[in-house]
Parts: sequence; C-alpha cells; structure tokens
Amino acid sequence: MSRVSPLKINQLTNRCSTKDLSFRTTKDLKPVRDVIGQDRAVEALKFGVEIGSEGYNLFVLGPSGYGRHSVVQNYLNRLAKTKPVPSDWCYVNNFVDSYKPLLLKLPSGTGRKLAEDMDRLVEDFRNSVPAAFENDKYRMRRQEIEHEVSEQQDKALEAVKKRAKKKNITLIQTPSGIALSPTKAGEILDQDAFRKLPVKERKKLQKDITALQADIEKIIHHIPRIRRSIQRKVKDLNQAVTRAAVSGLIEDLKQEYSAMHNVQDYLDKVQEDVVESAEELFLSKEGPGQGGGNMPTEEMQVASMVRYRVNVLVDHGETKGTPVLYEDNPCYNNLVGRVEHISHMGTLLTDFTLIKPGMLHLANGGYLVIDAMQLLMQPFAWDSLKRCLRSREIRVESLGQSLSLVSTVSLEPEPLPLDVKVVLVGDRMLYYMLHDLDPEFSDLFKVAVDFEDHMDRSPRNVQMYARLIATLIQKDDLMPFDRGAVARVIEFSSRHAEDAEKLTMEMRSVADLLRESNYWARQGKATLVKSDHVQNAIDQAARRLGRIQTRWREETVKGTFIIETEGERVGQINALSVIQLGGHAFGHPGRITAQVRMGGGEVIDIEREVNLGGSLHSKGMMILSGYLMGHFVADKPLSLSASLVFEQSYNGVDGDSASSTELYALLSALSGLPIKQTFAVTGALSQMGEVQAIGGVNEKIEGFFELCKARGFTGDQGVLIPAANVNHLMLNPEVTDAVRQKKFHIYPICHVNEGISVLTGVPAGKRNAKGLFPKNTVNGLVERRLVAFAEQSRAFHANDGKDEKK
Amino acid sequence: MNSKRILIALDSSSQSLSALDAAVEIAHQRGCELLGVFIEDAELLRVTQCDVAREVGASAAQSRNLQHAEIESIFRSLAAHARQSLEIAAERKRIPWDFQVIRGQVDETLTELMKEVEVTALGSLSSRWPATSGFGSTALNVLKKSKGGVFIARNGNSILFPVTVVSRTLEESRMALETAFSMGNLCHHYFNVLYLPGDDPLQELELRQWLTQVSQDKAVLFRMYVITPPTMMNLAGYLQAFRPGTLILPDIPWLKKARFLKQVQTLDCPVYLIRGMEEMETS
Repeated sequence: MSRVSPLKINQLTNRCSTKDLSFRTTKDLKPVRDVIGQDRAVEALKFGVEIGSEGYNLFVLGPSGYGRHSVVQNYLNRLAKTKPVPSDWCYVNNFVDSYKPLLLKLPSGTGRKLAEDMDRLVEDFRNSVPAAFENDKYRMRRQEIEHEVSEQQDKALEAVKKRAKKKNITLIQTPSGIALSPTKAGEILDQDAFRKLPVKERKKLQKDITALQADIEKIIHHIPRIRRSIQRKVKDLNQAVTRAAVSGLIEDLKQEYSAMHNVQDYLDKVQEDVVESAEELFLSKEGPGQGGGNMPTEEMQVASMVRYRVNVLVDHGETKGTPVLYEDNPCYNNLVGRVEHISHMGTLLTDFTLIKPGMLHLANGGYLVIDAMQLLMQPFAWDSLKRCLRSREIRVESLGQSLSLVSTVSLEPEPLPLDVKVVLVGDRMLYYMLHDLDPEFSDLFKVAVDFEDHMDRSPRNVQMYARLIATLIQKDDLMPFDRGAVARVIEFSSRHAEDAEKLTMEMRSVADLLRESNYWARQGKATLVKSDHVQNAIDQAARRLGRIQTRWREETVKGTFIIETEGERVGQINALSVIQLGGHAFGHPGRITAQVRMGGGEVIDIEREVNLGGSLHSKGMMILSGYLMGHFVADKPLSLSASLVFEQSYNGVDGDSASSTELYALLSALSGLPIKQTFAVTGALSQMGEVQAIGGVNEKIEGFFELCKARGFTGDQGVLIPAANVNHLMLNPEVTDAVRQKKFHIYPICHVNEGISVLTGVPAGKRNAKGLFPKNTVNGLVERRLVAFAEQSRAFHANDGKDEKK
Repeated sequence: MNSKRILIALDSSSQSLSALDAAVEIAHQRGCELLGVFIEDAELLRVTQCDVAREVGASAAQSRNLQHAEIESIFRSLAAHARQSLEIAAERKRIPWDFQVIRGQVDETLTELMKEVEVTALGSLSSRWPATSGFGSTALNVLKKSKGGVFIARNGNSILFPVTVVSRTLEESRMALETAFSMGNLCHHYFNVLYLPGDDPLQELELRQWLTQVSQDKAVLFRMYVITPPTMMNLAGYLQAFRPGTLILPDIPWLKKARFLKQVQTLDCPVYLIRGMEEMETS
C-alpha cells in the first residue's frame, strides 16, 4: 500500500486568477439581461408559457434566494410586452334578477369609458326625465286621466240622483256613505209620514229604494276597477313620456358602441328598465306635484339609479401587453375576489357595484405568479385556485357561500371565463409533496421549472458570472468592484456551492456579500471595492455570527472540552462535525473513544442507546460492524463487545460522516496501537472500508485548524478527509498559508487502511497468500485480538457448560 | 257683519282640516277670531227616523238600515274631534276661538253663519264619498251665497305657495293683491299676478306702479303676466298651464260664472275668493 501524501497547495482551493478576468472594474461590464446558468429552467419556462393546452400551469421549484421570482418575473414581463392586451370585464345589473349580476366583456380600455358614459347617461336621465314630467301637456293629460275616475263616479251618481228624484227618493251623505230616503214634495218623510202613504205607494218606494241601492252599490263596486284602469293609463303615460325622454339619449350611446352587441343589448335593457321604473325613479306615487314637492329626493334618486352604473372589475386601459401579476398575499378573497357589504341602518347591504376583483380577475389573459408556500398557508386558497383552474372560470362567492355555511341572500355574480397561466414558486420539497399527495396537482401544474443550485465554473461561465455580479452591483447602485474583488466573490461563490468547480446560483448570499463589501469599502473611504473589502465582509459576517464558535473554541483551549491536539492515545480519536446555527456553519472538533472486551459480537453505539443518535448515524455504526465482520476472523465468531461514544456531546448526533473515525478508534482499541491526536478525521465508511465523501468539508478542516492555531502549531497537525472531497475544497487563505508553511496537513483518504496507517504510523497490513495479516500491522494486531477474544469466549462457554453439569 | 271673525266649517274630513290650517293663517294675518262650527245634518237625522231608508257604505258598498242613535253618536264624536283640532290649531298661533255645534240643514245653517263673518273657510268636499271631481254642493253654495271671502281647501292642501292672483283694475283687485302680498310674506317671498288688461292702458301702468311700491315696502316680489286676449277661456288655459299654488280671485262678477268655476275646479289648487273684506294695511 502506497503511503498517503498530504494535499498540495493548489489542491486546497480553486483560486480565481485576475488574469482570467478581462476587465478592470465592474463598470466595464455589460449587465446581464438574460438568465445565466439556468438553461433547463428557462427552457421549461418557455415551454410552459407558450403551450396553450389546459393544465399546463407552471411550478418553479428550487431553494429560496436563487432568484426564482425575479427570473420568472423578468421573463414574463419581457414576453408580456409582445402579447395583446386582454379584455376589460365589467359587472352590470341584471334587471331580471338583481341577485345575479351580469358580465360584460369589452375591448381593453372600454370598460372605464362605458362606466363614465353610463354615469353621464344617468345624470342626463335625472335632468331630462323630470323636465319631461314638468311639461304642461303631460300635466294636463295626467289630470285628465285622474279626473276620469271622479267624473265617471260623478256622472254615475248624478244619474242615480236624477232617477231617485223622479221616484221621490233623496240621496243624503252620511258619515260613512250615502243614505236613500223617501220624500214627498221635496220633504224627507219620517216614519209617521211614510205610514200615512197608501200601501201601493209605500211598496213602490221601498222597491225603488232597493233598486237605487243596488245601483249605488254597483257604482261603488265599479270604483276599484276604474282606479286600476286609471293607474294603468297613468303608468302608460309615464312610460311613454319617459321613453320619449330617454330613447334619444340611449340611442346616441348605442351608436357609440355599435360594434359591441353585448353593450347594445345591455343599453336596450337599461331603456326598458328606466321606462318600466319611471314612476319609482322620477315620480312619487301621487305623480309630479306642486313645485316638485312630491318628487323623490336626490338621495333616493341617486340610490335608485345605482342599478345603471357599471362596475369595472378589470380595467386594462393603462395596461401594456398581457398582465403579469404577483400576489404576495394569496388569501381566498385576494385570489377570487369578494362581494363587499355596506352597513345601512344596522343592516349589511350589497349590490353588483360592490363586487371586487381578485388577482385571478386582474391577471386573466396573462400570468399570475404566486408563492406556493404562502398559498398553501392560506385557508381554502389552494382549493379555490384549483377549482378555478379546473372549471376555467372565476366564481365570486364568499367562503360562507362556497362552504354552504351561510343561507342569507347574497349575490351570485355570473362566473368570469378564466384564461390565465398560474406560476407557482416554491421549494422542491413542496413540489414533490404536492405531486405525491394531491392527485389534482399533476393535472393542473404539468410544467416543472427546476432551478439549478449551481453552474459549472468554466472560463466562459466565470466571465458571465462576473457580468452577473456587475448587474447586481448596478441594480443596488454600489461602488464598482475591481477584478480582484470580483475574483474573491467568485471564490466565495464556489465555497458557497461547496464545490471548487462550481459557482453557486444562490444569488441572495452573493448580493449580500456585494452590499457588505461595498459598505466596508465605503468605511475605508475607498472609491473602488477591492478583494480586501470582500474578504473583510466575509470575515465580519463570520465574526457577527461567530459568538458560539468562539466560545466553544475558548472552552476547548481551556480544556473544558477535552480535545487533544498533541500526543497519542489508544482508542481515542478527534472527529469533525459541522454545526449550522442561524445560517452560519462552522466546524467543531469532537472526541470519539472506543472500549473493547470479549463479548457477543456487538458494537454498542452509546449515542443510539440514549436516543441521541440519528438514523444516519446508526446506519454508519452498522456499516462499521459490517466492516469488522467482513474483514476479520471470518472463521470464528466475532466475540467482541465494543462501545463507542462521542465524548462531551450533549446534543443529538446524526449523519454518517464520523463512521470512518469511529472505526479508527475501534481499530486502535483492538490493536492497542495509539492514534496520533495531532489529527482530526472525517469520512463516511462503506462496508468495504472505502472512505466516502461528506458535507461541510471546508468548515470541518477550518474548525480543527482554528483549534490548532489557538494552541500553537506543532508542525505535524492536520486533517484526514475523504479523497472524494478534494474537489470541494475552497479553504480560506489562512489555512492554505499554514499548509504552505507545513504547519498543517490535509490527507486525502480513499480507504480506512490508508487512514489508520497515517493515524498510527503503522502499516495497516494486507492478507498474505495464507490469508493472514502480517503480525506487526494494524490489521494483524486487530485480528490477533479478535481471535483471542473468540478463544476466550469458547473457553469461557466450555467452563460454563461444565459448571452447569456439575 | 262681524268683520273680525273667520268661520271655519268643520266635519273632521281631511279637507276641512286643511281648511282649518288656512283659516288659522288668515286669522293670524288679519287679526281675526276663529269661529268653528260643526253642523249636525238635520236631514240625515230625519232620514234615520224612517224605517225604509237605507244606507250604502262608501268603502265596501254594504247596505243597512240607519240607526238614529248611531248617527247621533257619530256626530258627537266628529264634533269632539273637530273642536279638538280647532283648539290645537288656534292655540298654536294664540288666536281667540269659539266652537259651536249646530243641528240644522247644512247649507242653510252655513248661509246664516256666513253673514256674521269676514271669511268662510271650508273643504271643497266631504271625504265621505270615495271621490268626486270639483267642489261639493256645500262649497258651491258657499261660493255662491257668501258676501265675504271664501277659502276652499283642495285635496288635503292648505295654502300652497307661490300664490297666484288674478287681477283686472287696481280698484277691483286691490284687496286680492293685498292678500297676495301678505301671503307672499309667509313663504317664497314672491307671488304671481295674472293680469287681464282692460281698454285703458293706464290701468296697467297704475297697477304696476302700485305693485312696485308695495313690493318695495313689503319686500315681496311679484311676477306679472298679461293675459291677452283677456278672455275667460284664455285665463283658464293660463291657469291650467301655470298651476297656481293658491289661486286668489278678486270679486269680479264673471269670475263667478259657472263656466269659469268649472275650470277652476279642475285645477286641484286651493281657491281664495276675496270679497267684502276689510282693507288691510298695505302701504
């Protein structure tokens, strides 16, 4: 087995050379107009937006901070300018059923004009119709009609009176009607005088009174019929006068909207309603009277004429292209609109003018961008959105109505046909969850726009990235950055991507770094941001969040946390972990110890026993057991009892990145060979003994480096990392300097045999032709110990059996 | 004639109550007392004594025999209501008042009472009969026989503004015009004059000068319309078109002709006939 060499300087970080950047400052760079590094996402976006079929709405997935919103918005905004402006939508009164307002679809910009025209028309009605009723001809005609009733009555009564007189009967008014009484020579007869009359005459008078009484009854019975006839005539007259007054006004308006048949139909209905409701709108029940005293008040008239207003729900008069809207509060009402109410005399009232649009109305014909998480957090919003997309119409109804919780009368506006592309923006987990858990999701959101986390750090991409940096600088109006500063930002980007060959697409952190670098440059009275300012910004950010890191290191240096960085120990090794606190990650060395004795083949993970170990950590431990079983004493039972623990760890441990480290501790304990405490180790173990890649490699190395630095370098300190992680190294300049000065070493490890050799200084050992490990190797010593345990175990069990027989 | 009394004929109908309001206003302006009268129709009481007499109800056309006691009771009730209405209206303006209940023939009784008063106010007709055009027989009789002024309320309206006065010569119309000025003071501060020109153009000049002078003194404006030709039918046409608030008629003989009165009855406005009244202080 070849001896493992420490990494060279150029392997520790992928420096961005200023020679690769062909500009002096970011001022020289053209801003980026197109999206970079997101070809797959942009293609999907283009596809999703252009495909017209049903259900091809988009879900933009990716972590936040990657510019998903701005990329989508910019793309849609550019595209929208080339598309036609959608129609205006208005709600108008339904004159047949006012609870079901009707929709008018109008060419863009016409809605507001129609609303204004209708307001003017109503004003004209209010001026011209009452004037028509003030006309003398109208008054005389109405008076004539109204006099008909009394004249007819008078005539009928007069005729009865005349007949009565001829028959010696008089008609006298009583407090409650008319009395008929016999007379003689014009004198009313009392009972005595009447009795003195001849019987024949008396009978005749009685008969005549009865007949006249019937005539009067007939007149009275006829009166309501006359009144109804008069009312009809008056109504006809009022309607004729109103029609004459309004028809000209409406015809003028109809001509203006001659190309719009729906408006023409609506205006016809308005005319019919004005004529039908003339008395309610312009007259009191008694009709026009002296000085207009019995006309409806202005307030009443205005309230009645609300029915002729036009509620412009969607006005695209000022819109250029198709609308692109973003709803940051996608609650139910904000999506599908609402019907508002006004309080009047303690009662809530509403009408079609109080229908308010939702974002779906406003974005109809265009694009609506919604944050998926916000949408799902709003009660009933997701369901309502799906319902609208499924039915391709927007139904404005209150939640109470849609859930059938409210039975009071409310509006049921005509549903508005929906043609909108909805773009949901959310993280990947949300997308996959919706896909798995909501069967409708895949029908309605067929296009996934998946954002890349990072892009390749190719020379071309580096140039593009520099332009992207320049764009962010320009957008935030920051001072220009020189080449060195840009190079440092690019290195930061690779470090953020945790890959020396990649650049992060999480532009929020990059933009933050630019702003903070600009701040520190300004603090330093500089007019140009340089690499020192960028480094200072990185350091200051780390310092701001580094309180816990510092405290931990202090306690370690003091010995509160026992981490040895010198000497050798059997069964003890320095491990490396990463702690993520509030967006700041830092490496934290820990100590793993192992104890062994004869046993039943179990390796006890103390973390798991006390429920501090996560499932991945347990998995690592089982892999470790698998490695032991596969590599040692295959022909004998593994009579080992081992326990492993993260010393002074009081919180949960998860991940398998310490599994190789734990194996090294166990091998040391079994072989009795001490491990150099000058090293810290990380790496995930396979059952075959391969050391696999782990996350947070830079932070882990820097964590142990900081501790060694604090205690003073001994020259033989360093870290063992998986060789697969070498490409991820973007270590800070202080570490690389220490390595250059041979104060610190980083070993790339492919197999545990390499690692244990470095850690113990003893070869790991390889099985010879007889299948045995050489004696003075780590593996040889381990196997010898395990064989000894097996034999001890066999002897122990044999004695145990004898004892039982005795 | 006791020129300081205004007679108000009350039968508790809405028409007569409107006449009461007008009578109170006129009495207040002219400094008169009010004499309210409720006439128990003797003829009706006599009818109740005949078994064959029948009554047909105005509201439901139900026929029944008349009961003397019931009519007596109704009269008492109506009279009490009339008295109470008079008291309230008169006391509101602090006008001295008196009230009488007289049993007799209505027209005759009123004719007798009218001799003693300056103005008689009454409703155009009783509301007991469902509807009728024009004035009732009592109102027509009062118009015909009264030597003093007559105010006839119409359709539940008391004095309506602006008032309109028909005028010929100043001499004939002075009293009516003075009344119009005093009523103009109550509301609107203007009134209309429908002038019927005579042969002498100076008459119009004289009228205008007088009107202008009084208008300045009283701060009440007037609008004068000249009716040409000054025929009865032309005036009637003007009135139809003009729709006067309250029509004030001076004591011109041809204005009392049946033909003109018939036209006036179609106007639906209160009518105030000025006749035999003491001159009011105007200027």
